[in-house]
Amino acid sequence: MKKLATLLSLSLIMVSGHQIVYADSKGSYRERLNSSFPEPSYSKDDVEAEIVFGRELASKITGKFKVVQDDKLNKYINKVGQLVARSSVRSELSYRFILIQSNDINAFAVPGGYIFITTAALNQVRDESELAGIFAHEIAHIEKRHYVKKVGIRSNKANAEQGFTALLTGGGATAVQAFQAAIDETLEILFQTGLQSHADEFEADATGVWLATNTGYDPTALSRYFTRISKLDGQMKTLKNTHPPLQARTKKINQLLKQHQLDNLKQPTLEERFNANK
Amino acid sequence: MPTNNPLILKTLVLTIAGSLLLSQSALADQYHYKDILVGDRAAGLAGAYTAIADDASGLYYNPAGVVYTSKPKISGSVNAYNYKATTYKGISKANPNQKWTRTSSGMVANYFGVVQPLGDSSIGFSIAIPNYEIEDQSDSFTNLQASQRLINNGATYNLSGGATETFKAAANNAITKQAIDYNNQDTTTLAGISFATPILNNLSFGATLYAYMRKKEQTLKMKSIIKGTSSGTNAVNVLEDSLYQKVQSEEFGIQPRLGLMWSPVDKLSLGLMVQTTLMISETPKSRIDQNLCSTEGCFKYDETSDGFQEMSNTDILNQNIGLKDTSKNDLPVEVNLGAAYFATDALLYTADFSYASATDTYQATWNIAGATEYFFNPSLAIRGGLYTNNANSSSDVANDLVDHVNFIGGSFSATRYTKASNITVGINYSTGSGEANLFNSSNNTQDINVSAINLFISTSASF
Repeated sequence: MKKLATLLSLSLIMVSGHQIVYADSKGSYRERLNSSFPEPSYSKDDVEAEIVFGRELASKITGKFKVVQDDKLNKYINKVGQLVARSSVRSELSYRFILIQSNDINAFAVPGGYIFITTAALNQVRDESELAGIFAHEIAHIEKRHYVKKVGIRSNKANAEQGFTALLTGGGATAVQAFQAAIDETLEILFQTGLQSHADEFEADATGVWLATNTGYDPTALSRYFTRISKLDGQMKTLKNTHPPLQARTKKINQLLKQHQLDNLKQPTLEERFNANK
Repeated sequence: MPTNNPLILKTLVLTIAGSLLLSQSALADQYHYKDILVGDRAAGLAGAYTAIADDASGLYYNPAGVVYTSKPKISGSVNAYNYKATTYKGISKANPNQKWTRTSSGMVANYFGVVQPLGDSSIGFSIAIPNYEIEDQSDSFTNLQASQRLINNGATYNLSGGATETFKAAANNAITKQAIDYNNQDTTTLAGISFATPILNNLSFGATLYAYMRKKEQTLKMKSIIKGTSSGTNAVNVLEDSLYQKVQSEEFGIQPRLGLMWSPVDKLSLGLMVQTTLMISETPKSRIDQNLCSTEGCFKYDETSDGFQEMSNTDILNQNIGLKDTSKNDLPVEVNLGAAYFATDALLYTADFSYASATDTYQATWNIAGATEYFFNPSLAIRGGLYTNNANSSSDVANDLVDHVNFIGGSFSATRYTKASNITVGINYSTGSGEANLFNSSNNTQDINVSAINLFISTSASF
């Protein structure tokens, strides 16, 4: 009992009186060389598998949410999205930007180039640069293949029988099961669990800021948007469950802007054009 | 100084042939704390892992370290081959050239661990086997010299009628035949859950709660044929000395491990892990039988009178052949301190110091380990280090009766990485020499040399 008391005392000393404050840099010096293990190159078949996978997933999402039927608005948001996508390194994909009806402030990307934004999210946008900033963040997820890596979308996944190529060529029941399991897993990530690795979201924020800036939009747009919606707690159920806190994301984006002096870059916000097309 | 040696027979049994007194559980490694280095990366780093501990094997070395696991990880180890040879030299003064060799070999999967990040915290589950021994000895000898005591004073035994007789061994090569069969199985298993969380910037806390299970079973059978003469009226010129000894125990307890990990400056990590074992139940038992048989009959060793008695029918019927309780095991508080310097993303240096407190069973002892890791490229890393494995027994073997061997060891491993998994092959080798006291004798100890080799294969994966 004496030993137990000693250990309990030690543990109390260790945890008492300390507020949980956690540094963003989670011991980054611990990363070993193997963490930079080169990503195996993606073949044409891998990209094809990603597109087929994304198409199936997008159809499930459009079955779940009502797609807004406003030709003018849809044409406009696609124009903005395509403009940003032009700066993306993944030119092999055809991007599509889809507005869906939902009171939840959210936007998300699906492998293969499908990007969704909810009406609630669009309602909080004040200018075109903010819309571009949101799309740039989602394009970054696709560019960095966050979902592709997480779910393991490869033409030769596991084995030839389970690979998505097998599905493309009319593969058997095993391939169909593997495909459906991957679809279900991605839906869970998108609407329930998130990518879990906060690093992926921070990376998408940073990449997105550069994408939007390189396209010609105001670099501070995404930060402004996050600051605004962070006050609307009740309308962000999915976003809160699947992403890091907005305050932390805004802080990191502002650090990036300051570090590279992007906050002094006067690039257009295009508020009038946004309002004219909204 | 140990006041109590668990699982060692302290009965003062006169083994006619073995020269004097028999005791000793050989080198059962409850007397060392670093017998098996568990984990994949940790084993290659000579166990100097308290300040690293950022993968699934960190649950064992320092649970605070698994906060730095960025992805869910699973780790498993297989000791492809585990071999230890223990040689006792100078078994008795009468036979200084006689050697006993005991070997232990086997294959054991010594670690399985899985870590799951949960927000900024991490949870985990692990199973470790830090001690695993299957030791055997099967020896036979001819024409050994009996002890001077047996030649000059002889062994006495009491006939049921009340008469006492003395048997004295022949002056030369009295022990015409001797056979020894020894087996010792001793395994410690830990299984439990862990939780780790950051508590301050660059400071994390972790705890593992292990269930502790130990099972030990040790038997010794020894038979000797001795030539000599008896003092009785019936001429007895040969004796058969038979000895059977059994020691067994099952222990169950909980082993909390509490850890801290602190990074005071960039690239430097300091770790602290404290652990002890709280016994919930233990059943240490032992039994010893010794008989001298001659043409006059058989005489059984009697603990009460500390002599050999001829047994009547009633004695035989009423004898107690069950196991008797022996003293309990009292494990220490262990404190492990570690420092690791992550020089570059390809090179790190690490060192550990550990201290185990004195208990009713063991003496205080300490160990050190130092190691380095180098990545040639993202897919290949090597690790190597040195470590000590000091005994927690007294160096005064003649009085404290327990073997005392301090080891020094080296480790080397190579790891091949893929994007989400790795495989490690490695070797740990340790050697030591010291003193043993096989027969609980105050004036007859043995030199002991031990070599242990452990070839291991381990895998880890992120998922």
